[in-house]
Order: sequence, then C-alpha cells, then structure tokens
Amino acid sequence: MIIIPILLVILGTIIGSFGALMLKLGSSVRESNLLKNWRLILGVLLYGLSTVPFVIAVMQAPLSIIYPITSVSYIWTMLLSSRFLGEKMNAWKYASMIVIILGVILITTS
Amino acid sequence: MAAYGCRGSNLTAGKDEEHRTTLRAFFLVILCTIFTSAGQILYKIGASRLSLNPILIIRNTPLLLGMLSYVIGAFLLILALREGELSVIYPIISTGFVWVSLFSARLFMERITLQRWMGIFTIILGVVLMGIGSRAPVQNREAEKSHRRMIGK
Repeated sequence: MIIIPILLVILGTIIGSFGALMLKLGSSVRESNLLKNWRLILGVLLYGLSTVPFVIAVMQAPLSIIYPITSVSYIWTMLLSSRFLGEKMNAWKYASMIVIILGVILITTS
Repeated sequence: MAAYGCRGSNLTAGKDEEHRTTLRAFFLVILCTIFTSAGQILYKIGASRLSLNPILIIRNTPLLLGMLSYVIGAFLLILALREGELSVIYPIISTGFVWVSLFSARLFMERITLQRWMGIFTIILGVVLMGIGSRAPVQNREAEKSHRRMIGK
C-alpha cells in the first residue's frame, strides 16, 4: 500500500511547517538565553520530530516518490504564514511557490 | 511593529503591518542552504566509514564537520527569519537541492541529467520570483521606514 508512506510524508511536512512557524516566532524574541526561548526550542523539536514519519516512509517507498511529496510543505508554510503571522500574499509569491514545487519535483525524480 | 521584535511579542503581532524581507535575509538563507547541503555531503562521506565504535565516531571528521555545518545552517536560518517573512524565506530553502546536485556532480562524479538541470533552473527562477514578490508594491512604505528609524532597526 503506497498510500500509507504518502500519508506519513504529508504528516511529516505538516509537523515540519509548524516547526518553521515556531522558529519564525522564536527568532524575533529578544532573549539572550537561547534555552529560555521556548518557541525556538519547540521549533527545533518539531523539525526533528518531522523526520520520524519521513524516515518510516522512506523504508516503505522509494525516495523518488517520497521526496517530491515533501514539497507540499511550501503550501502549509504559506498558509501558516498568512494565518498566524499576517504575512501578505501576492501573485508573485504564489507563482514562486508553484515554480519551486515544480523544480523540486524535477530534481527529486531525476 | 511595536510589539514585534520585543520580548513576548504575541502571535499576531503586526497583523496589519507590512512585514518586509531584507536583502540580508535572502543572503542569510542562501548561505544557510550552502551549509546544510555541505552538511549532507559530509554526512554521506562520513556514513561510508561509519561504525558503532564511539571512539571511531568521534574520529569521524566528515561526520563531525557535517553536524557542525548543520548547526551553523540552523543559526543562519534563524537569523534570516528574524528579518524576513516566513512565506518568503521558507521556499528559498529549496535552493539546497541545487547545491546538493552541484556538489554531488563535482565530488561524486554524478552526472547532472537534462531533467536535473531543468529542475535547478526552475528552482532558481522560483527564488527570483520570490524576490520580486517580496518587494511587490507596499502601501505606506515610507511610513514604515520612518517607523523603523524611530525604533532603531
């Protein structure tokens, strides 16, 4: 069943995108003690956690299927950025996202 | 921008403000991808001589350098995010695929296929589009500039 590794990768990208969101939130906090910056720590932890479903997926399906799917993380990150950070989207950004996803698919399936 | 960048800034700080991405943030994230790609290459070299003996792991220079590259990459990413929008910075991390392709071709004699070249140029095009998108017309740009000057950023 190829559907299970695919779902695992998608789960990994969702966790990873939340990690990126926490890194962004933590990066703007002026806290000299890195260990006290819980957003940054949570971001790193989520990033690390996101590799777990990915590694399990890689054991069940070829990389040429797994890698291209990771590019959905660009979609999640854009959604999170506009929802939680109030970042403005525009046609250029959407076009860039589509072009980058296409580029990642081209490289990772070659 | 008032709460933004201060300790304990809240989740939706600056919701109605324009978040701008500095040129330096672009350089920082691209530098980050160079380090993480170098890290991946070093891991690959280190993995070929990997053993479970702890002393040999400590002596596995490529592996240790790979880890160091990753840590430096993480710091650079955080610095980039500090002065850049997540929606702009995050997709640019895909530049890592370009470096890995180029480094592998150089070091492991892997041939870059036509499809891979197309992928490389497509990602570069995407980053250029993001550069344009991050600088798309913004209202009150002058107002924000003067505000930034006031808060000394």
